[in-house]
Amino acid sequence: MKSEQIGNILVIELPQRLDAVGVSAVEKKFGEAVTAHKGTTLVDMSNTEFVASLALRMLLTNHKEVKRQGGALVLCGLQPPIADIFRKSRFDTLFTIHPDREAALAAHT
Amino acid sequence: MEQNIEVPADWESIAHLMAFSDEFECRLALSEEQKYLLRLAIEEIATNIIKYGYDSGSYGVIQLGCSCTDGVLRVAIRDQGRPFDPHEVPAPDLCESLEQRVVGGLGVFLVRELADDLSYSHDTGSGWNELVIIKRREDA
Repeated sequence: MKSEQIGNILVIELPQRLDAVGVSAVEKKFGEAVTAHKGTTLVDMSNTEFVASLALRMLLTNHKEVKRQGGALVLCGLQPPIADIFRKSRFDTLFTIHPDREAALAAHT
Repeated sequence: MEQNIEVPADWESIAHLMAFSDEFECRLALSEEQKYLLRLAIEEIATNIIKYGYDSGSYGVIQLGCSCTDGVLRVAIRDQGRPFDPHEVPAPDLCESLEQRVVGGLGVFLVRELADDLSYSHDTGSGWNELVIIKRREDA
């Protein structure tokens, strides 16, 4: 999991596969990073080719948590199968989603 | 021909099942949608069996069988744990309000959404459950 600070935005790149194994590898670090940052975290999913329900749970739990602190998780770079999962689970209505990192940074910085 | 694997119903097995699915994908010309469903089915259904299927402390297995004939992917997942028909799982809360949205309950729903067909059977004599998931190639 790569992360960097761009202006006041924390950018986190999620790995290729967010299955049970992939989620357990990043879950703790991801949660710690976004809650420590408190502000807006941009989650770049452009490398992510697979998400299952555990990954959705990780995103939603942390989104709710940072919202309480006045921050947000913002997503970008969803590949078509991932965007489809987000539509089917209506997760596309719970998050602000940008097509790519440039568009997201332009909107939030 | 069906390719099979049997693993213990524990967390370490998920990685073995995923490796099996990677190998299966390479050998057969699956579409991107079929590959996704295969992984999703293994992940969500096997995870449910590990979590809820068997009594804690008791040994159980998960069998996975995959075949692809004439563009039709057939994934069979078998176990001897508690009977569990995915059709009977209520639809999850898809509430669009973040505050009210419940975390979780999406696994079986996503498998149902992505699959073309899902059939479940429980053999009371042997205690085996079998879930068969079908996904056709879009051009088949």
